[in-house]
Amino acid sequence: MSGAVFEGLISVLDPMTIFLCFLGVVIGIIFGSIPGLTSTMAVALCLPLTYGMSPLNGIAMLIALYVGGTSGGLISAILLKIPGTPSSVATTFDGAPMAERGEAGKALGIGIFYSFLGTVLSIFALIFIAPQLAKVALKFGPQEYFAICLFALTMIGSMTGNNVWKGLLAGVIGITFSLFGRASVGSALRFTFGFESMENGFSQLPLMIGLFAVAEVIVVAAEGISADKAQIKEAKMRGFGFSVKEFIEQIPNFIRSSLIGIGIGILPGIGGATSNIIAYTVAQQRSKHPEKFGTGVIDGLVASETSNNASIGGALIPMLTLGIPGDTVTAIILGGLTLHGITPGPLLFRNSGVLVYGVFGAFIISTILMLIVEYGGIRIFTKVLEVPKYILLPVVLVLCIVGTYGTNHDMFDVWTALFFGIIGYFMSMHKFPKAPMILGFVLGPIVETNLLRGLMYTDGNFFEFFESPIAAVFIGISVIVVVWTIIKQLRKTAA
Amino acid sequence: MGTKKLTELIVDTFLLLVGVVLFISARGIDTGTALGQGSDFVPKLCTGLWIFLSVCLLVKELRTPDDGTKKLGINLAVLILTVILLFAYIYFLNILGFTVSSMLYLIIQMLLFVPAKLRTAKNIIIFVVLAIVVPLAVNALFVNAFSLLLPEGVIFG
Repeated sequence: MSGAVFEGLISVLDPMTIFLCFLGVVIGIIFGSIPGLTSTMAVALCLPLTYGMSPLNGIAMLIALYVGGTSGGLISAILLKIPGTPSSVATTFDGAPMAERGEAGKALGIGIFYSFLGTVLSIFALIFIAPQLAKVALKFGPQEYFAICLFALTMIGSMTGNNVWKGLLAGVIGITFSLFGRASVGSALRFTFGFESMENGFSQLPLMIGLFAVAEVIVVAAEGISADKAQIKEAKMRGFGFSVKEFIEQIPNFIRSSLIGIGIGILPGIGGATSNIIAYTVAQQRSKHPEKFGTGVIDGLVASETSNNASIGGALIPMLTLGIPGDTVTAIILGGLTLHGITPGPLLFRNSGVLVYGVFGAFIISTILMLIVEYGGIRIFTKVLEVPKYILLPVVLVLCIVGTYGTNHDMFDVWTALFFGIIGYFMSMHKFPKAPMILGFVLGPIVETNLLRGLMYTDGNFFEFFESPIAAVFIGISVIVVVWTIIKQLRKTAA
Repeated sequence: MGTKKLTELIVDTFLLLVGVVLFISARGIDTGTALGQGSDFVPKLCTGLWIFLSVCLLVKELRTPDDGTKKLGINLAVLILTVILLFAYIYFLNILGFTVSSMLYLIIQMLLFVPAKLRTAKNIIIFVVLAIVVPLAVNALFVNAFSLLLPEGVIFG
């Protein structure tokens, strides 16, 4: 066994493999940083390139694309206030304000470093405890999924900012929009109003592009661009942008966010898009200065970027050990493995141990290369801020159209982006928080599907959900969080 | 009444009306082919919550004191033109294709956005060059290099 580990890890130290990891990371970062383009698209487009490669080289490149793509999202999230990928939504909350006050370099440095650390911790989890973690994931049935996602939804209560009704309403609106189209359980058409194109409902990516990118264009149109403030002056940055003291202070936040990222990544169907918002919200709740979140504190940035990258390792665990993809990217990587004659599952470590540890090695190398490439590029990235907004925003919008159309080749997605752009404009102008809406949209379908499936298992008896310890604990915590939020709000109103 | 409070009330009332419309629509959803609770359960629950929360929001806003500001505080003309431009851009994507539509969009949007002080001949030349180069470069990179499909349009496709 240890022979396979050593042989596998050494097999990656081949110039061609390292070059492919480098190429994958660079392409992944480009795709991740452009709003609308995602690591899923990068992996899907580069999959045919891997047909002629050896299994290790092919999978190494796909993993490198995954790492680069997930991490690259922080660049546009910080510099443009538009998340490059759904995994970087929470990065905009504190990363963008830091950039607006001239600390873009610091924000990028922190985001990149903690992306690296989050990935490293998830690699440890993948290498040392993957089979055991996978066994735990197998215990998750519909009741457990429902309970966990319900708990995650209660996080909306903490994202409400100053106006709890606006926050809760944004969450409910997000969940309702996720219900449009054909139902996953029952197959009835919902809220289509007779339009055939509505039958598939709204997609996550156009919604995100609309709420952030298109909305930003409309907001800037409304507020205008001042001739003096068209560009932001950038402060000088030292090292990674943070001090040893700040690093030590962030250790608990980093460890907690990594565990959230790994835990959420392991559960198939939920990934970086959810973990970054959950980790951010938990960090805010646990912080001694929660009111500062959203103004440009490094805690929020650390939480978001650590967790979304930790979800990568988490998502690879069920893929490699059970043959169940953790998210869309791992679903394509699974296809890549099958193409090369490798069958993921419980026997993978026994039958292809050298390859599996080679894949872990490629993961480690890609993470290191991601750190080097992104950190080396900080000076270039911050140059983006020197481009005046009246040029930068329209160009970014055109790139967003590429991403929005490019996923499904469906004009309906582009119109969806415009529709949510108008909604996002009104949300920005009237101080409706966007995070609850996104979380509601992402988790709504999972909560509904698993609730209805669970009720079918239990013949309509919801109380049987509590027979599962995991479900009972999470439903209990959800109820406590909701009651506590209401009490807090009533106290605030009384004061 | 100040414009801020008025616009808030309009938005909150609109949200309430949308919630009511969706609730009525939800009542017409089939249960579908499920055993037990079906496709209509969660939509009815969510739209009901939507109405309840909208009412709470509206009541809160009615109780909020008016600050009396009469200014709109936004550049209405540029806002409306930008929204129309975005509609037109997306509408013409399938007719003129990605490259031509994007060229037209970029030049018009940059001219709408640029502050009057900076609307110089030099800047306009930069806008025109960027408006031509960027869509061509994007097309070359994504369509030719990455084999991504973009709208080709009916006229030039």
